[in-house]
Order: sequence, then structure tokens, then C-alpha cells
Amino acid sequence: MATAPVEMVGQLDQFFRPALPLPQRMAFGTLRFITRKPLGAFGALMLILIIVIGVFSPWIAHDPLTAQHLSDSVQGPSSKYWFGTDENGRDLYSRMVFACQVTALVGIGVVIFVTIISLVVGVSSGYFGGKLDFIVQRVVDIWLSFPAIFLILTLLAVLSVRPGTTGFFGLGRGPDWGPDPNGGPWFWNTFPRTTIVIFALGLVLAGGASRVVRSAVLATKANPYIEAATVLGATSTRIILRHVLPNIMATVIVLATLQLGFAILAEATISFLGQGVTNFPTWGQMLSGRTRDLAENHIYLALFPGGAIFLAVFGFNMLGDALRDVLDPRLRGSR
Amino acid sequence: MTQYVIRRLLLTIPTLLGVSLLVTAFMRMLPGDAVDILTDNNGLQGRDEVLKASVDAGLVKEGKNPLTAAFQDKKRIEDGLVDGQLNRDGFDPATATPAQRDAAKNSFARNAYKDEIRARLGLDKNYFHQWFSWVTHAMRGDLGVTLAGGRPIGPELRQRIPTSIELGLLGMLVSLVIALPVGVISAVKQDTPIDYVARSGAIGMLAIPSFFLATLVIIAASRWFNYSFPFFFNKLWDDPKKNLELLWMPSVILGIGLSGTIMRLTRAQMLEVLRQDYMRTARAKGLASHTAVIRHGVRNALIPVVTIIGLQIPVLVGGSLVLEQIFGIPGVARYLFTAINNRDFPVIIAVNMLFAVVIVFSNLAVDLTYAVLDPRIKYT
Amino acid sequence: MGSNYWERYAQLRSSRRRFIQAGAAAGVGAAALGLVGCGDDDSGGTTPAAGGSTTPGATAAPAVNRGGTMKFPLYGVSSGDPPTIYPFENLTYLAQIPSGKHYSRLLRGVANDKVAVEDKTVLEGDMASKWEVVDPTHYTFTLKPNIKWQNKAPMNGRAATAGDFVKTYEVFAKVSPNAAKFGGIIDKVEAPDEKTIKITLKQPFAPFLHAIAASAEGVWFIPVETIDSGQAKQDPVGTGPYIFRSFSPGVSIKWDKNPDYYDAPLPNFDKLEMGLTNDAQRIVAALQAGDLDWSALNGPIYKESKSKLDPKGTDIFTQSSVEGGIYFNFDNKPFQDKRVRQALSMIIDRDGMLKVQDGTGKGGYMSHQPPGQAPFFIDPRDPKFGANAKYYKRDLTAAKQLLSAAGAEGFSFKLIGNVDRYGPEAKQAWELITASLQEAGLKPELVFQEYATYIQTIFLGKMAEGTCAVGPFIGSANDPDDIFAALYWSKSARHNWGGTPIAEQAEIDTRIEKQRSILDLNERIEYVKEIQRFMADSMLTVPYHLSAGYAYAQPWMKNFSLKAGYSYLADGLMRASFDDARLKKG
Repeated sequence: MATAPVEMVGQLDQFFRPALPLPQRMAFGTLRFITRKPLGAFGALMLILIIVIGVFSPWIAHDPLTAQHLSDSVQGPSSKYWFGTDENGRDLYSRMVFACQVTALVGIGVVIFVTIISLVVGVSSGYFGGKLDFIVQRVVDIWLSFPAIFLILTLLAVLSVRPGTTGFFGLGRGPDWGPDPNGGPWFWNTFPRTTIVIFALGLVLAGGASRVVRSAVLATKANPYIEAATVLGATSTRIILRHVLPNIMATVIVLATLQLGFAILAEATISFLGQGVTNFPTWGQMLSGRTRDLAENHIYLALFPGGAIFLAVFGFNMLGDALRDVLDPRLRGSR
Repeated sequence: MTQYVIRRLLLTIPTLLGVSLLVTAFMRMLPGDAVDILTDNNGLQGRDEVLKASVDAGLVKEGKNPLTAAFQDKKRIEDGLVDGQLNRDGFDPATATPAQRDAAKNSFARNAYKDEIRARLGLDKNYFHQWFSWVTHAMRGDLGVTLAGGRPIGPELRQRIPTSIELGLLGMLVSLVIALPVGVISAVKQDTPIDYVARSGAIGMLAIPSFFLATLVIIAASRWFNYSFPFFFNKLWDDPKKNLELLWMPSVILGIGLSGTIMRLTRAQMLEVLRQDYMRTARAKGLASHTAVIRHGVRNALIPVVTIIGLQIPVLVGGSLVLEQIFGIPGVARYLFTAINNRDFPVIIAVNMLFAVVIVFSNLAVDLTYAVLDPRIKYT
Repeated sequence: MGSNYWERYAQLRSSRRRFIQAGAAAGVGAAALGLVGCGDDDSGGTTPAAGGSTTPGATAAPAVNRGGTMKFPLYGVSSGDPPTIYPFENLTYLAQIPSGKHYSRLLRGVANDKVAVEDKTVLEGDMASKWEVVDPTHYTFTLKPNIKWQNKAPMNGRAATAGDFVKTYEVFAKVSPNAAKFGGIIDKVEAPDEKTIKITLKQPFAPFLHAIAASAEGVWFIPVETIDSGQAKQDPVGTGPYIFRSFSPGVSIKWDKNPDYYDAPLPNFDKLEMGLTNDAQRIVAALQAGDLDWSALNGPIYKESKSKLDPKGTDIFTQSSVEGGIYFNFDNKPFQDKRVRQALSMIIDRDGMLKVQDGTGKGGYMSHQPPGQAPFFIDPRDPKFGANAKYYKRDLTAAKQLLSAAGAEGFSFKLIGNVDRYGPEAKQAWELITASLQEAGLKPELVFQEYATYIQTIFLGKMAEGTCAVGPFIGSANDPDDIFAALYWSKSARHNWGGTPIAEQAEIDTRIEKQRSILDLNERIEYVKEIQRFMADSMLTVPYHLSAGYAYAQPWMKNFSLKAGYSYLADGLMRASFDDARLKKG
């Protein structure tokens, strides 16, 4: 065939030609990814952009975090206020820049959390099988029987602090505990809320993800070389680390990218409902509250944050799709 | 096969019991309870009256007549009550300042009133007791009453379930109307610009937050068409026209959200089917390409798609909450949302069990459909 | 509605939030609804204690259209659903407003354009045809001759007697959340005969008539038969103008006209339909589409909605009786010092916040009473406020001096707010406060809690070191005494500011107790204003601002007037009617 079908171009070996030194291989791989998967590359760019903007937000934003210009409230976009100002006269552009911290931290945090939990649950359940598998799968059954929205809302409340305590398992910073943030420009000053949101979203996503990991483990386990390793007397730890994990890595990476988009969408939704991160600007929050009153005459108030959510989630899903094609063609089309 | 079905059915029992126990455990962990909210705005200015009633109750317990009891007795009991409250508040009664004693009196009055309400609602029992009584009542079909207002939950759910089902079905219908044709065409025209546009569009539909879309739709309707969605909700069987006037737009938005997933799945299944031998045979037989696609391809590809629709039910449940909130539709998800905010335990557990039953059985139905449709899958 | 009218109104300079919002805000609120009156001319003119008789029925309006289904909304931030329709169980305005349609009480406020809407001291009889003050602790009410229970099981139109009322009161005193308040004032309620109710007080209580007898959270006349059987929670029966038909949560509550109403031929509408919603935008859209006949609306969206609504409609500006601000636990170091509290008050940019939040331009300051407590309220910007007005004036230099004198310059602290109950306007106000405190070099952090957590924190005073709270504190205020007693009186169960003695507390307690015994209305008004002046110095709480709210009535609403309090429909809207065109639509 003159032109290789898309799925063949993206085989792993194409990216890691052993002949070239690493930097060149990476550059080559990246270039190839960009030319073959422009939308996937756009997603990767979005991810990098959000992280970079988030990290440098205090310098990128025009205004400090809480600055307000009361005399300029609800002004349309202008050269002074690029995205206009909101009901308190705060620069929308600056707030959206700060909100990148939330998007990046929640998105990446959830993905890491889900990956760890689903690996622990899925690998142990799939690899050891038997009674452990049966019991673990029944627990996962229960886990998956909750409507996600209930779990998220309840976990958010459960994980929040009770007055006079340091919170659930000491996780949440009560109003009386932890480093004093002084309303600084950094999202991690709102540390407990982040943890809570990441925890809640992560727990909800982890159940389903562990099922996918488990079936990948089962498929790997069926390979003869695992049996051979067992016969040769390798310990379970060694087999899991040397044989099982490398084999399911592609599945895990693809899964993680797809979770990223979902996590950000879910974070935006709970923010819109007035839950989740409340003491730091987030995109979802900017669409709720007074914006709903004002948006009809000041549409930019809804368009900028809404568009940002859309672009981010769209990009991450595209990236996930492209990575799936490249890394794990078996998963194509299933979602 | 029969054995498999029985086994799966039996397994639903521990799952559902587990869900109910877990909900109960969550309730235990939630900060604040319904009584806090019920009494949030009470005008408890009469601290002394509450305190006096407690002192009187203490005297009666000791066999003394509150009316004739000596001042010393009253004072002793009141001091005891206040000391107890000081202990609970983390102060040492011996060294407490008068202002602290005064504050303790206020806390006592407030708590005494709340405890009385808790006892009235049966919330003073331990959680296992509450769980057990809920399960035994639920088995008899009695879902209990709301903590606030004492309205029976069963009839309330019966009112809301049809609306939720209607919204879900309409949403599903919209998504199928969008997803199936686009998915099939996208597979047939694989790797052409049509395919890329369709696939990007599908991911776009997955990516657009429903609350954002709903906001834009409402604004656009009002601004350019001077139209607003009806304020009053009418039940489908009361007034179908007015009902649909309100429900069509949330259904479309819900459908758009779902269509991305279904379209991608249809495309993937279709691609797989197109590669099968019988498709090649059909085309070799001389059947026109579109006839082959429709007669053999679509039919075979749709079987897994139909089952996957069953797996979208939990998504429907969650996705409809935001739309129910924005369009003011009295569905089940909104009932749950309000109940969580109000800590209305009987409602939370009832609605969760309802969802759990729906999810568990739709999963079961999906698995069984697979078993029936695909003889290659062996179940033991 | 000439502009002249509103100019006169504006001279009152009272501030408000929209009453519904206010209601949501305090969870009770709605204690103020609009201002239809021509201002202060009448305030204090009538002394309710003087007794009087009622003039029910349509007043001067010539031919009144009767009939039609009047549609209006009930709004709550998280849900418009009443948690219960049994008003003895919960004081939230969501439960009390519907009660005003099917239940009656002894007295009600006068709703016409001669009396300021929030002036609750001008009363007429609801069930009572007349009342008499025998002496400061004895009151006698005579019931109207033809009071009947609605024709619905189990009462089936039986005559309602004074004995029934006594039984209702006995239940009320046992179960209601504010029974303790009533119990602290009322010694006994007796029925010497079928038409007479005799109430004996424990000691003279100046606001008795409007805060107790006419209280919108008080003794609704509910038949004990329906309370015992639990019917009152499902299908209430009363003596009020409308008969309860149905309640579909999340949708609406419906009523039919009570043909046997004692003030017949009132009410004018045949049916009522009250839509339940948590979305203010949908209310505006429905008004625009003509689906609703009137609604209370949020002050901050005044300009936004003005452009959409028919300009021929009526705006009634509303004043809130929600008291809110910054709330302390005096065990906490910096806040123990009153100089710190004074400084906080002097830092808050009330004018700037009003400019942003108050779409109507009629909002204003709160003192330690909300503007909705007119005629008792005194505006801190009023020259008559005196020397302590300086604590309400933004003055960063003076505030910094106070802070450094107290050794608290640039200190950092947390402000606890609520995220889900008080709506976007309250949240916006707190964000504005936080930002204006930052401008003075303080380091506040706004922390949001869920309602169930929040009320446990602030009402129990569980604010840890370096923490204070923001919020509306109380909304159920029929009289300044309700606010004093609940918030500033050391014997209130709600008063929990820690164990540190407050220097001014004894004096404040004395004054609060004294104003209750001043029976002359004008004298009491002056004394309550004096308390507000006095309290500005100690700043037990730091009040902020309130934006004005308003109610919008469609052009076809005739005789539309409103009254503060939950039962505004019974008090005011009962006399409203449709014009011919709207009536034809049904």
C-alpha cells in the first residue's frame, strides 16, 4: 500500500527507533505525532498551555488575584480588560488565567489518583484472582452502583471539615489548621478543597478504570511467558513489576488521558452547581452565580469561561484519541 | 446459562445491601444533620424557658413537684446541666467564667431543643438501627417520609420517575437520531474528510458542558427569538403539548451530550463489521455498496450498540441533574440534590437505592443480551 | 406612578435586598416586601395599642374585577420547594408564605399606599373584628362573626371558635420552633366565650400586637384535628381566603377561592398558582412572556430585567429586614478588642459595594437594625445618627490608627461564608467585603462552607482562633426586638460569642430589656434608634450594606399592593385584581 493506514503509522516501534539517540528520537516522534495527528497535537498543546499558564499565572495575569475595580464593573472586552470585567469589576482575563491552576491541578491530580487506585485494585484483583478477585469485584460492583453525581456531592460534603476538627482523616484544613495562606495567588493555598475535589472525582472514576485495568491484566496473564516465569520460580512481585505492568502500560496511559477530559468537565459541573472549589476562581464557577443574571446582556461573561472549558476538554479528548491510536490500537473506538 | 442468570441475580442482593449500608455510613459522616437545618432559623430567644423546662423535667425525675420544689433543688439541677454543657464544650466547670457559664446556658437551650426534635424524628437511634429499620420497611414497600415536612417519599418518587424517564428517553432518542447515521457514514467513509469532521464533531459534543450549552440556548432564545421556555411544568399526561414545550430543549441538550459516545461506538463497530468476510461476500455478490452496508453491516453493528445504550443509563441520571436544575424540571436527580443539601436521610437513601437498582439491573440486562446475542461468549 | 412619587420614596433612603432573596438569605426572610407608601408621613401616626376596627373589603376601588387565576413564583436559592407546608414545624419563609393563603391569624398588617410596606406597626384585624388593651398585660380580641373552617374534611365548614384557637395555641406552644419566644411573653390564652380570646402576658411587652398577635411566624389558626391526624402536613384546612388544592414539589402549589371567607366578597381571584423555582432568570423570562402576573425580584438584577419587562408595569421597591454582617467569637484575640471591630467597619466600602450590587440605586447601610425595621431603623448616614456615625464611614487612615493601637495591623484572618443557601448576591457581597478589607492591608481569606456545616459553625459560635463569619444572621424579624433578642441579648440561645465578657454587654442587655416595656410607640421608636447609636460604638457585629429589592407587577394588575411579612398575599394581594383583558384569558 502506498499510504500506510493511520493505525499502522502509529505503532510504538516507529517512535522508538533504536538507531537514533534519545533526543532525536523524541524530536522525531513528536514531529511525526504532530503531522499525523494534528488534533491530538492540539490537545497536547492545550495541556501544556494550561499547565504553563497555571504555573506562571501570577505573572501572566494583569491583576492580582482579588483585585477589583468597582467603578468598572461589567465592562465589555477592551484593551484594558481583555476579556472584560465581571460583576465585582474583576478582570475576567486575570481570573481565567488563575483558574488554569485549578484546571491543571484537578485534572492531573485526578488522573494520578485514578491511575494509582485503579492499578492497585485492578492488578491485585486480576493477577491473584480467586477469592480476592471475587470479593474485590463485589466491592467494585457496589462502587459502580452509585450514580456518580451522588458520590461526588456526598464525598465533597463528607470530606469537608466539621467545625472544630481538622477534617476527615485530617485531610481537610479546617478554618483553624494548616499554613496561613493570606489569600495569596496560589491555588495550593486552598489545598484542602483541591484534595477533596480530587479525592471525590478520583474515587468516582477509579471504579470503572479498575475494571479496564483488570481485564488488561487478565489478557496479559494468559500469555505463555507469564506461566514460564512462574515455573522458573519468579515471585509475584517480580512478575507484576517486570512483565504485567509494562504490558498494560499503554492501556493505562490512554485511559489516563481520557480521564483528564472527563475530570475537567466534572470539576466544571460541580463548580457550576456551587460545590467543589469555592474560594478560588474556576471556569465552572464563573458561569454560575451572577453571570446567569448578566449573561443575556453581557454574553462575554459566559462565552470566555465556557469556551475555555470546551476547548480544554475537546483538546484532551483528541489527545486521548490520538494516543490511543498510537499506543494501543486494540482500544480503538471503544470508549 | 440459567445457572449464570440465577448467580447474577443472587449477586445483586449483596450489592444492593452494600449500597444501602454505604449510604447510611455516608450519612453518618456528613457534617450537620437535618435537624440543624430544620432549626436553623428558630427564634430561640426564650433560653430561660427551655432551661426551666429541663430543670422541671429533672425535678420530676427525682420525684419532686416542680411547682413546690425548693429553690436550692432547682439551682442544683440547673448547675448540673450547665456543668455538663461546659464539659461538652471543653471547659472546666470549676474555673469557668460567668460569661462562659452564660454561653453554656445558651448552647444547652439550643441543643435541648434539637435533641427533642431528633427524638421526635427517630434520629436519636444509632445508625445501624436506622439502617435496619429502613431496610425492613423498604422490603414492605414503605419508603418512609421526609424528615422535613413528613411527606411520604413513595408517592413523591412515583410523581417524579415518569418525568425522569421521559427526559432520559427523549434524550436517548435525540442522541440515536444524531449518532447512528453519522457513525455509519463516518465508518463507511473512513479516513476521508467526512470521517474526520464527524469524529471531531463527536468529541466536540462530548466536550461541551451541558450547563454552558443550556445557558447559551436560553440566552439566544430570549435575545433573538424573544422566546422563553414555559415557567410552569405540566405532566405529560396532563398536557402533552405544554410538557413537550418545556422538555424538548433539555432533551436535545442531553442527547447531544450522549451522542458523542454512541457515534464513536457505532463507527468502531461498523468498521469491524465492514472488515468481516460476509461483507466482502455481499459486495462480491454484486450488491450495491449502500445496500450491503445497510442490509448486512448496520444490522450487525447495532447489536453491541444497543446494549451499550443500557450502559449509558447512569450517565443519563447524572447528566440530567444540571438540566433539571436549569429548566426547572421536577425529576428524580433534583430531588436527590435537594435532599443532600438538606440532609434528608430517608430521601437520600431511597433515591440512591432506586438508582442502584436501575444501574444494577440495566448492567445485568446488558450482560444477558450479550450472552444471548453472541454465542461465542461463554458464561459460567 | 409619577417620578415624584419615587422621589418622595427615595427620601426614605432605606436599603434593601429583594425580599425573596432576603428570605432565602436568612432562611426566613421575606420579612420585608416593598414600599408602597408615601413615606414617613404616617409612620407612628396610628398606635395599634389604641385598638380599632377593620375595614375589610375593597376600599375605594370602584368596579373590581373578580375571577381569574393569578400566577406568581416562590423562589428559594437551592430550591423553591417548601420543606414543609406545616408552618409550626419550620420557620422558613418557604413554609410560611404558602400558609398565609389558607390560614388566618388574629391581626394582619395594613397594605395600602398610605402605609409604608415595612411598617408592621399599623394593623387591622384578620380574624379579630376588634381588640382591646385592658391593661399592659391583658389583651382581648373579639372574633369576626362569620368565621368558618373551609368546607373540606374533616372540618367541613364548621364554625371556628375562640376555643379552637386556644387549642391551636396549646399545640403551637408545644411544638413550634419559636414557641419559647412566645412562651417567654405569653402567660396564658383563654376563651371566655366563643367569640372572645383573652391573652395574658407575663410582663408588659411593647411589640406584643405586631410581633406576636400579627406575627407571620406565629400562631396560624390551624385546626388541631388536622394536626393530630397529620393532615396539616399534606392537605391543610384553615379559615383563610383560599382553599389549598395541591402541592407538587418542584412545580407549584395551587389554591381555589374560599367562598365562605369571612371577609367576603374577597379575595378577588378565583384561583392561585404559585410556581416553585430556584432560578431567578426563569422568573424574569416568565414575566417577560406574560406567564406570571407579578413577582418579587432581585435588586441587583433591576437594570438587567428592566430592559425586558413591560415599562407599564409597576415596580414596588422593597426593603429587607434581614440583619447581616461580620460575626465574631470574642474568645478570638484580635476581635476581642472593639477597636478592631470598629476598624473593620470603617474599612468596608459600603458605598462602593452598593454601586456594584444595588441595581435599583435605592439600597443603603444597615445599622444594628436592618432598614426593613422602619420606622425603628435609623440610617447611619442620617445626620441625626450622631457621633458614632463615624464608625460607618469609610476612613482607612482612622481605621489603621485603630488597628495599630490594638496591635492588629495587617493581621490575617478567615471569614467563613456559606456557599449554597444565600444565593449569588450574598456571595458577591462577601467577596466585595473581603476585597475591601484587603485594600486596607488586612489579610482576610474567604472560606466557604456548606450550609449544614456553616450553621453549626456560626450559630454555635464555633469560630476558631483567627476566624470570624459573614452572613445574614436573622431574617424573621417582625419587630426590632426580634433582632435585638436573637443577636445582641446575652440571654438568647442564639447568642454564643464565647466566654469572654464584653464590656458593653450589661448596658446593651439593660437597654434591650427596657425598650420592650416602652408602650408609647413614638417614644419606643426614639429609644430603639438610641440603642442603634449606642451599639455602633461596641460593634458586636459589623453590619454591611443591603441592596434594595423590588417587586414587579404586570400592567394588568390592579390595586396591587404588598405588605411586609410572609403572608403578604393575604394582607395585600387579596385586594388585587386583573384588568378586563387579562380576566378574559382566565
